[in-house]
Amino acid sequence: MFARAKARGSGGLSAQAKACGSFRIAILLVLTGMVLLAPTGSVAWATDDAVTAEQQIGVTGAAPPGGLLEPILFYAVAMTTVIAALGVCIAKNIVRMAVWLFIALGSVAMLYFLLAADFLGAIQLIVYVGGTLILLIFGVMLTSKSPWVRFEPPKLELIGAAVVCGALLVALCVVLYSAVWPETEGVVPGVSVADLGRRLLTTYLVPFEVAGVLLMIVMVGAAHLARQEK
Amino acid sequence: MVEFLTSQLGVSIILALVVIGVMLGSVAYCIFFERKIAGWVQDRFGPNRVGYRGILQSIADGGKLLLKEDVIPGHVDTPLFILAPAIIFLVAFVGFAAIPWGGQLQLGENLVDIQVAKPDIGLLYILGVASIGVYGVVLGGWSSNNKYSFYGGIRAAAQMLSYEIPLGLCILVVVLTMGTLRLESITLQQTEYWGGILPMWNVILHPLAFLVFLITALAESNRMPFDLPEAEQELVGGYHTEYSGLKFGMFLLAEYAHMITASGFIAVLFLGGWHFPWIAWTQPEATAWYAVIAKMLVLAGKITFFIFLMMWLRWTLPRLRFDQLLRLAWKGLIPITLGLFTLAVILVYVGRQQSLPWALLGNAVVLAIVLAAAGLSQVEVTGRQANLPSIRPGPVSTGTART
Amino acid sequence: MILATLEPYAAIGVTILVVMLITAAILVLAHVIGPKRHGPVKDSPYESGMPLVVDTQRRFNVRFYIVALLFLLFDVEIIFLWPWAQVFHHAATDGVTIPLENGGEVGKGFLLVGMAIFLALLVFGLLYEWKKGAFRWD
Repeated sequence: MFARAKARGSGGLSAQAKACGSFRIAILLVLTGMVLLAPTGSVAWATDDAVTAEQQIGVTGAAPPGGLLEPILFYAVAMTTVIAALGVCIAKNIVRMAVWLFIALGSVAMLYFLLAADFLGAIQLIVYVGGTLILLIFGVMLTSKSPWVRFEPPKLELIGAAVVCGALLVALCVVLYSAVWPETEGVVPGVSVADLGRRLLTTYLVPFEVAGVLLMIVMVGAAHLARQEK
Repeated sequence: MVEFLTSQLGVSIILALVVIGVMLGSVAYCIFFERKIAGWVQDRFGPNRVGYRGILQSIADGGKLLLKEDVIPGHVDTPLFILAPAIIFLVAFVGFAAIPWGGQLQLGENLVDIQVAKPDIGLLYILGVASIGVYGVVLGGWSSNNKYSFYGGIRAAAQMLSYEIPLGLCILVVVLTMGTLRLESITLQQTEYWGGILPMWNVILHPLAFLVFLITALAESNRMPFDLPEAEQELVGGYHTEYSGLKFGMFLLAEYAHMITASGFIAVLFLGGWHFPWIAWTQPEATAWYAVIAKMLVLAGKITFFIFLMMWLRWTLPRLRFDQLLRLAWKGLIPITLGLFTLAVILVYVGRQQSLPWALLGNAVVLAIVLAAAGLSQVEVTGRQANLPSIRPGPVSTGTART
Repeated sequence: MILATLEPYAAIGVTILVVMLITAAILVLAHVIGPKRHGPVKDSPYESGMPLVVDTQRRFNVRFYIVALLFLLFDVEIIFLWPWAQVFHHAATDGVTIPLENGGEVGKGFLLVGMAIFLALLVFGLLYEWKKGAFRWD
């Protein structure tokens, strides 16, 4: 598909290639925004960032008990994530993009571990890195006829994507700065796996069962995809 | 300094370094033992030239690989070509970190765990690390830009993904029985006895789950009879066809490291880890240094047994066909493990999860259902066509053709 | 020194660093020590000595993709079982009950039914795929 699109010149990109191009630019812009915001975020590190709304864990207070090591680790991993994500946008070869995405998703898992969300980190590794991305790589390998497909979206698409991404960035910033972050004193213990299970089957029982129904529907869909013509 | 070295963190770090060293040494010697066992199975000597009875063979092999040309052919995607063995090597040597090697050690006033890391999600950590291993194989196959490598990589990915599901369900049986994801707690719970004699090992409680786990562990480490990704008769060397020198050596070492980790995992989950019944030194109460060494030796013995078993199987069983392999996972192992999971749920619900007669009865029921279903649907699972003529040994040739 | 929640992973971090160093050392050593000779034959893909007639066509059977798709679905389902297994074990063996927001509490029966519905959907999906021939690779 991509090879054919390339053969027809940049004016005739197929729909998927177009969407893919816009997506890359979208990621690029969001990440640029994140890099620019990082200095302001560093002030908020000790109080805000660690305490995400749904996890309610991490470090609070003026002096993080982990000393300097904790922020250094955080920034090292965060920078790896950003660089890898930039790599996804800049790479021209589709499989190289997937490798950059592998590094990006893996670093996000590390971030979860740093935030003491062990279970989430392991799930990120098992589901996203070990499952979704493999599916993606298989898909890329299936669709691309030549291994060295180069991928260069036209200028017009870049501009369109830039507008969309700028809007998204503004929206994210508004949410980030207007949200009321819960503040807690001292070290809050991480959520144990058993806690998660308890919440899942009581407070979030209905979403949990709905997720089951959703997965079943996807399975039925997959069965139709996989059906043999006989 | 001494204070740090006797703290949990210090001991963990020292242990990590020691285990990495021991692993590097033992994977090299695994290759030697593999060849010796191959010789034993095929009634020949195996390597016996370098040193006393070939004992230095592995060192010679390593030296040879180091001195060989590190070929990076012109047609490969160079960065990914180098990255692939690095990923697979890294993953193979990081997974062991959650394995409890020797219970607890009394160091002065501190009681430290002989374990590199004991996270709340110990089991999921190992699964998470193992799931990254697929990338080394897929990238190695893709970047080589070679048909054989590519098919090997794709096969390996599909195989590792398929067998991860029964693997997870088997581990869930243990988790349901034990109520924890921590490997050290799982070991500890297996150190009790039924009737004061029989150790409460999970292999006795859930023999079927143990068997399925063993099969999936073989498949996950791409060992015979599941070594289709590198089936040399059809794919040359599979995903490492284009690799040479120490990069090829890294793939080889990673495979053996994978085997060691998998064996350790089996030993901890189903065979009580460092526990050996009836001996005071390997009980959880023993925390002196000699007891810890005894426990480590027990675990090493169990791991050695499983590695021997894997090697023995390799030189005994023929390779599966790829459709048979996928069918075995999806139509064979997944339904069986779902049945075992249901069994474990029922046992836990009625509060009999540690009761031997109940568990064995349940296993017998599951086995009976599996056998009945397998008898009824042989074509479904084995892929054997119903109308094929049965294979019978024909009359033995009298040798006229040879004269 | 190190945050309490991170302490279990400190030694793993050291392990990863050490293994990374070993990996890098092996790669560099192998590259530096070995001889380097290039040639047209050595630079072409290895096909058991046959001259290369067609380029590597990276076309493969779509069934591999389906395997990955099915794996992902099952994987996500199993993820939900991990926390549940722990909670259910404690509810069934120790009689621990889970308090609800409205003041009531639920025990092992509730947990069993909650997961039974979820698992029934999974098994239904599995059987449907089986019937539709998603697991036929011959």
